[in-house]
This record gives sequence, C-alpha cells and structure tokens, in this order.
Amino acid sequence: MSQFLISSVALVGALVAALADGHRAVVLASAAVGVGLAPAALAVGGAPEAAVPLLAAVAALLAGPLSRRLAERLPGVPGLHPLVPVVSPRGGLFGPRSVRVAAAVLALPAASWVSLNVEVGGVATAHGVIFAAAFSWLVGAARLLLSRTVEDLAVGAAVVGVAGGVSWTVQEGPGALGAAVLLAVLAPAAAATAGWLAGRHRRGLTPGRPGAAAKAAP
Amino acid sequence: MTPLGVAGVWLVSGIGSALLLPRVRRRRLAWVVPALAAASALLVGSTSAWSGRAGSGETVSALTLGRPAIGLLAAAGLAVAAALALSPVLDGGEVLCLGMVGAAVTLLLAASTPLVYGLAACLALAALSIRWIGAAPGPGTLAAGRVGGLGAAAVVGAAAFVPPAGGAFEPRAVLGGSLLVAGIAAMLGLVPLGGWLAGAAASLRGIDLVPWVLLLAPALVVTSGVLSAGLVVGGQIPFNNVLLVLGLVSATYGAFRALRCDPGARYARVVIADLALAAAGTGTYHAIGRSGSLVIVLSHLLTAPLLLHPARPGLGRQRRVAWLALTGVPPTPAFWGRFLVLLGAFAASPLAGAAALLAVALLFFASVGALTAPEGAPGATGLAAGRATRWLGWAVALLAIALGLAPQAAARAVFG
Repeated sequence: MSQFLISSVALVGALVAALADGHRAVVLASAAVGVGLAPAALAVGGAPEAAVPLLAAVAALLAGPLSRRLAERLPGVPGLHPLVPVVSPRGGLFGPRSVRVAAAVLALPAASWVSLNVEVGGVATAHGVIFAAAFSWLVGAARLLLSRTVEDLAVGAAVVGVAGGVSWTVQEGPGALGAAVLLAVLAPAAAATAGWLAGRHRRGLTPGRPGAAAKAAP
Repeated sequence: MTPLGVAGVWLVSGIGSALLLPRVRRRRLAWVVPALAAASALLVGSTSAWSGRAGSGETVSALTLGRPAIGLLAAAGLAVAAALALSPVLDGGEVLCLGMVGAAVTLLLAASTPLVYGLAACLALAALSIRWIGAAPGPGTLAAGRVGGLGAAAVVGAAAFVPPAGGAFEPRAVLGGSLLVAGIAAMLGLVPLGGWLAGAAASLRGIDLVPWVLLLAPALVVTSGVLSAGLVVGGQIPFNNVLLVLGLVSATYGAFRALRCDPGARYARVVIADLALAAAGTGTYHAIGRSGSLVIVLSHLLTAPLLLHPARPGLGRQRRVAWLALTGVPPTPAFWGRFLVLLGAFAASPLAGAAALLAVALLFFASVGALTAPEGAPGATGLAAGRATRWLGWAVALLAIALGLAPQAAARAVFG
C-alpha cells in the first residue's frame, strides 16, 4: 500500500478527531482514528492487526450509547455533566475548536520529523505508517492538553489508546495483537465512561444534543 | 495470589463498598477495602528484587510484583486505611476512586513493559481526574486530567520507542526516554512545578488527595528507578538528570510556596515538595539518594493519614507529633530522608547539592511553622475525634517518629 495514502487517510481521521465535539465526540473520534489507522496497521501487521482499531471503533460505537442508556435507567445523581465546560470559557478571538486545529497543524511537522528520523520496528522505510501513528497520537495528546470538559478528556484518551495500540503494532509487527488490543480498549472504555456520566448526571436535556433548546422551551 | 488478584481485590472491594456501605449507613467501614488489599499484597510470592524492566523487547509478559512493590502496596494499603479511618467525613465515593486507583497502581507496579505501565497510569489518572473534577469542578482539578493525563499518554507513546536494554543510543532511544521521563514528571507534578497538584489540592478535601499522595506518587517514585535502569546506557543519565533538575526546582518552589500558604493548606504543599525531592533523589543516580527517596516516601505514608485532613479537636497533639516527624530535625524520618537525598545530590553535582540544601532548608521552616502554628488554624473542623480515632492518631504519629529511629531497617523491611 502506498505510504502517501496511509498517511493521508490517517491525517484525515486525526483531523476529524481534533474537530469532534458534542455528545457523540468520543464515538466519532474513535471511529475516525480507527478507520484512519487501519491501513497503517494492515501494512505492518496484517488483517488481524488492522481489525484492532476498527473493532475498537465499533466497540466504542456500541459502548457509549449502551452505557448511557443503562445509566439513564438508574436514578439521576447530582454531578458534573461531561459536556459542561469545567472552566468557563474566556472570550477570545479563536474558539476551542480553532485552537485544536492549530495544535493539529503544529503536530504535522513534529510527526513528520518522527517519521523521517526515528526507526521503529522493522519498518525503517515505512515513513507513512510511522507518521500515521505519531500524528494521531499527537492529536490525542493535544486534545487532552486543551480539554475543557470531561468529554474532551475522554476523546483524548480514546485517540491516544488507538494510536498507542497501532504504534505498538508498528514496533512489534505481526504477533503483538494482545498489547494492541489492551491499548485500543481505552477507546470503548472512554466512550462507556462518558456515556455513563452523561446518563447519571443528566440535567433533563443534554447540552449539544440537536433540538435541546427547542425541547427545553416550555 | 497473583498481581491481577491483588488488583481485583482493590477493584471489587472498592466497587462493592461504594455500593453497599452507604446503603447500610456504614461509610466509616471504608477502611476495610485498603486493609484487605494490603493483606492480599502480602500473599503474593516473589523472589525478584524489582518489579520489572523497561524495554519493549517483550510484549505483554506476565505481570510480576517484586519485593519492593509488594512492600509498597502493603504499606500504602495500610496508610490509606488509616487515612480513611481518620477522615472526619466520608461521602462514600472516595472508596470507589481508591479501589480503581489501587487496582491501576498494582498493575503499574507489576508491569514489565512501558506499555502496560502507561496503560495502568492512564487508568489511575482517569479515575483520579473524574473523581476530582466531579468533587470540585475548576481549573485545578481539570488540570489533573489535562497535565496528568498527558503524562500518562506520554508514557503510552514512549512504549513504542523505548528500545530493549541492549539497544543503541539513537534518535529512537532519545525520543522514547524523553517521552518516558516527561510522562513521569507530569504525573508526579514536577511539571509545571507542582502547579496542577497544588491547584487541585487547594480545592479538594484531604481524603480526595489520598489516592495520589499514598498510592500513585509513591509508586511513580519507586518505579522511576526501575524504568531508568531498563533504558539503553546512553539514555539513563539524561533520564536521571531531567528527574534531578525538575525534582529540585519543584521541591524548592513547592517548599517556598509552603512557607507562604496558610497552615490549613500547608501539608499538601509540603508533601508535593517532599515527593519532588524524592524524585530528585531517584534522579541522583546514586544508591544513597535513592535510599533517601524511599525514606521520604515512608515518612509521608505515616504522616499523610493525619495531616491531609483538616485539624479537629482531639487530634491536635497527634498532628503536632506528625509535623515534628516532618521537620527534618534529627532523628526524625524526614531528616534521614532529606539528608540522604542531600548526600546523593552533592554526589551528583555540587550545584544540585546546593539546590537540594535550599529546598531542605525551606521545607524545615515550612514544617516548623506548621508545628508552632496555633490550634484552630484555618481549615479546622468542629468534628471532635472519638476515642478510637484519637488512639489511631497516636499510633500513626508515634510510628512516624519511630521510623526516624531506624530508617534504614524500616526501609529494608518494607522495600526489601
């Protein structure tokens, strides 16, 4: 597979993860990074290794809404909703999403340097694969650092988990399935946690859900 | 008993207690969870000297708890039990966080690869962040997730780049070692100078700080030496130098801030500074400095259960004895710990020694200030301690003093 194609797919996936917001952000980011990194895992590992990020995305897709539904069946408890910003946003020229995009742009040269100068595993020439894993990890790290809500932290953890799993596959090659799965499990775990907290700490309506404002009106 | 079994005891008993104890109105029995976990750690059989090695030559191999890890888990479990028993108020949620962090710390201590180490750190930080942000939403607690989480992510990222112990010192080793040390420094609060921890400590109750002070931070201090030893030869010195410099700067800054803060918040500042000094001791790359780190960790395992909580009637004298143990006057345990770190720092470099001396002097004045502060200082609660609590307070305080009489023997008994 073309290294350019591998890195391009990962770039798009990571950018989607950087932009994802709202109550489906963890699921969307996990799916985007999972799909984006699957070609990289396929190139260095094989079909089983490529299935890991994809399955992580599917598991996140199921775990998030499922845990939310489960939590909503229980009596609500007071607490911070994962979508409510922990710190009130300061008025500024750029919003949080723009800042994340700027961080992703800064991550581009860093990931390129890693892919060109660091030899990982037996894929010295597979620069695209290394770029894919490094860029996705950097985007996850940036999301963690720039987070304003618990949901943001969950997105960061999910992206770092999937990217870490693929990095490990790049390092170890075929046969590192167990470790890659262990890390990729962070994605569904983060989705389930965010969903659970949203369900438990519901406040009538979820901020960010389409139509919330209309439903909130008397 | 296996390491997974110990982690399971932490997790299952933590979840079970969080669900059960509030329903039967027995929240005060939460101390049973860490006590059980401490007992289960003692049932783990081990012959190895240390818990594991760094290097990604192996995939997820069997988890093994070395002798120091078993000792730390048992001592920390008992310290957490004492902290829960001495807490004036429990809301029932603390034990859930403690169970999760305890399970993650067990895995962290048992990890033989940076990957499992990083994953365990991620889980611990996630549990801690959710608890802290939920308990007191604010920039300080959010920073636990931001900076602490980034540290855990850095260790996860390092896993792919840390070469096996016999590898060459090339860009990959530099990147792996840098990510590893940056991750540990961030999780220990050395970056940015203890800032995220101090911010969180200012807004949280003492009992909420227990998972970091008594479980995660000691585990990180103890294992940083193991991780360093597993790096390639050229990578060990930079790794330790970073820990030394960041540790000394954070310890000095933390001790300075401890001098200026009110007595109610002083212990949190002192423990952050002291643990930074312990990290610097690990970074001295000398056995004597590392011994000092272990003694500092032990000192806080014995004093934190009393001093993390606000002052309350009935525990004033016990708290003063605990503060006395932290002053650094010979033969208190803090004296031995800081003195050994000081020796290690001077052995590493005279400049490092001078910085360590400044930090130790500031810590001395901060502790003496707390010792001589009048009772009923800001932060005091009106809840009087019962007789059992007072006796437990005396036991903890006197054990802390006793540690100073035989620090090396105590460290050997705990860490092997």
